[in-house]
Amino acid sequence: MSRIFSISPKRGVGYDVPLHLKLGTEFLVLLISLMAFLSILAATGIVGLGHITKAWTSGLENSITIEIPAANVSEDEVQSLLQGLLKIEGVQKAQRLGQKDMEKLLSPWLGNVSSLWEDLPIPALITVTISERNAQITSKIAVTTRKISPNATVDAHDAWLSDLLKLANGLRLVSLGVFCLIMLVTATVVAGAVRSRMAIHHRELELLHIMGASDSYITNQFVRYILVQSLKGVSFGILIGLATLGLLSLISRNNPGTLPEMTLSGAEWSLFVAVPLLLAIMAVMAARITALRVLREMP
Amino acid sequence: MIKFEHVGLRYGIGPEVLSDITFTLTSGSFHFLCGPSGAGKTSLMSLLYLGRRPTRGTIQAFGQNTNLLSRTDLAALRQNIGVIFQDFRLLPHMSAFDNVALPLRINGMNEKKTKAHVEELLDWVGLGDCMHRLPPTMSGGQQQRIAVARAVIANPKLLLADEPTGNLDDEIGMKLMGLFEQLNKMGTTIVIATHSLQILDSLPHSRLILENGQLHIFNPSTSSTTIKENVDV
Repeated sequence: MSRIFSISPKRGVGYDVPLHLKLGTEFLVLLISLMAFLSILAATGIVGLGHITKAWTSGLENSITIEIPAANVSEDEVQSLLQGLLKIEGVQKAQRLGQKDMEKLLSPWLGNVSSLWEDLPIPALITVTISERNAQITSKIAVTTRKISPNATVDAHDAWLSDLLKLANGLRLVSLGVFCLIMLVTATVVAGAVRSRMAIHHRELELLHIMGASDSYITNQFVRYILVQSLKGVSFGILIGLATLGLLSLISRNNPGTLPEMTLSGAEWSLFVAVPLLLAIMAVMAARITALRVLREMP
Repeated sequence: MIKFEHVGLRYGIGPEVLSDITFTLTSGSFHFLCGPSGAGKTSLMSLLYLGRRPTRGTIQAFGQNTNLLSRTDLAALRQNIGVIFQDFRLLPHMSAFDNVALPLRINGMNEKKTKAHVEELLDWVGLGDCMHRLPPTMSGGQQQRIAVARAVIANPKLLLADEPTGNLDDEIGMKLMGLFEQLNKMGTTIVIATHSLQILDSLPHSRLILENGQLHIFNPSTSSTTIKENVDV
């Protein structure tokens, strides 16, 4: 394990400043690994919540339910309402729920209601499937329903959908926030590491300076060092991250219901690799900016 | 080549360690910088190698006013200056070869040419057989020669040496002075900070004498002393 987080003397060749000497190199690589792993988890959160939201809403998104209270149910009224609804542009299907479907809906609360069916005050439920959810269609359905069956209520699932989407989008925003925080922490840690290295090797930096090394020459040494450490850390983080996702996917497949099932596309899998690489780019940028700032403090 | 005009230097809000220094170093000249400890020799050297900017006055180096130069231009100008430090300041993690090659790599010379130049120079200073050794494994004399080789490898126009013989025995010290004489004959301007009376007495070059932050110039060939005058030396 220590070989992963350290740098061999041979690889250190090429640094004028002895950056390859350990001095906390392992800690930096370990930290970047951890940040890369967390960034993959954050990305999984963003992608996964998108999938879950889609799965939850896909059944309700294009459907509206109309309920005629049990006291007012008349077969003629139901039929004329169905006909009226089907005339509306954008309505693909309008269908009354049959006894079997209603029994299925009630069974979780009342158990088997077949024998009691005649005695129960069962409302009439009509499911309307629309081509797309828009205010115009919803409004036409409401007007038609009011005209034909004044006691009926129209439930467009708006409140439920809106709450669900709000929750999911909020959680996605939190995941994005966590990802930004991970980036910020990585940049801060790298900047601190560069600053401390520059303080430790102040004499060497001064010597390079006297020899005529430009700020960019010296900065490039730090940038190269951080790039190497970041790539090591990120590779390790990606490895652990993808292994974790693989394990979660296996658990969800073998134990349905414990975790939401997700089928990821190729683009989504590559996102999990791209996100930690973005972290490495951020680390390199932080190293470059910090090194240039510190050098500007020199005469 | 180098022109100081009413240069003053202070550290922070402390008193001036160098006051109203005015002199000119002409191309191809040879000078000793002397004076008691604490007189400001190291500070003057740091101004000469453009490691600091003066707090007042102007320094013209190689025809340019250094006060007006950007950091990048100043770095390029420093490539014309070789410095030998009393404590050598070799990089201990790099081989003798890499230490000497450093100024050429900074200048952007390709590796093939760098290798040829460095090997030739290390042979010349008698260290051709230990170019891959690390400085801490070498003697003081060998380290000194690496420091000299590093200072001259990029063919500087100005060579500065701070007590270069301080860690050497008399014989090696005199040999080193011979090397400086040779470089001077090839056109390099040389300034050596030294306390050694033996060296000062043996070579008739002009002396920049620092005392209490003020510069006096003494020319042994004419036995004249000038204080704070605008003189070419």
